[in-house]
Amino acid sequence: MGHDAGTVHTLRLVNDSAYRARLVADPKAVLCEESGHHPVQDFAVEAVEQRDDTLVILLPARPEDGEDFGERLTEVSQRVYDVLFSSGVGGFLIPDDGLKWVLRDIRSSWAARAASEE
Amino acid sequence: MTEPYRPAGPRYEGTPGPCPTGEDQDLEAALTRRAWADPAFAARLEREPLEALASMGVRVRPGITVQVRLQRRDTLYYVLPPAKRPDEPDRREPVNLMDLWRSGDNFVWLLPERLKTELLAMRRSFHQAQAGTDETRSSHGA
Repeated sequence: MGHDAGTVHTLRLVNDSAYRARLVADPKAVLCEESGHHPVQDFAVEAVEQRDDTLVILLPARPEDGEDFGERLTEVSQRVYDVLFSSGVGGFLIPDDGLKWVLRDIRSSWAARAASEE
Repeated sequence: MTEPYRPAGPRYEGTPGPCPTGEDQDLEAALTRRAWADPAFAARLEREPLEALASMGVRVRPGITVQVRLQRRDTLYYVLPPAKRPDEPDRREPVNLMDLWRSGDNFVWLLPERLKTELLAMRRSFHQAQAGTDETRSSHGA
């Protein structure tokens, strides 16, 4: 079965401990390097590893300036998303729409690069 | 950052309105409120999560690790499936994927399926502890 570049990358993260360690150490650098896309926008990437003995909590982002604390708290604390994995699930959490197209552009660039290397 | 919300007048019962500080009945609401209102506590949650949770009365079974992050709007969180064990053969099946857009509006738990009873226990024991100290609410068996 032929895998596309994204699938190959994800399987490498599972199977290749050196590759995984490199990504975990600097996820933004590895993603930009692999995809060939270096966004001008200022942003960070954090790797969140799933482990057999670990519960990870990602708290909702703080209210923005001018937002009502109580209203936001009520809304977001009722939007709870439980992800229970067995062999694992990968992907992204994108806290804000401001980074939506940054991620999509990284992916487009990656796919285009992979296609041109075939 | 805005001030923590403190309503004047009576508490709210049975409605999803804001609760006075310290009386959120659900673990997620209480944790979120405190992390937002108290940057030192948020830092402690990230640095020494078990101790910070214990200070809120949340205890976790020994041998289980908890990791907490407060989502930042300028950050993408790249969730990695578990690494294969060194003795395992290479995995070949494509990994399940999920993307959560506007995840900053969500409280997200990532945990192995086998720890689901632990999550339920954390929620239940927190809820019962809060309900037990709430004088005006009758205690339900749940």
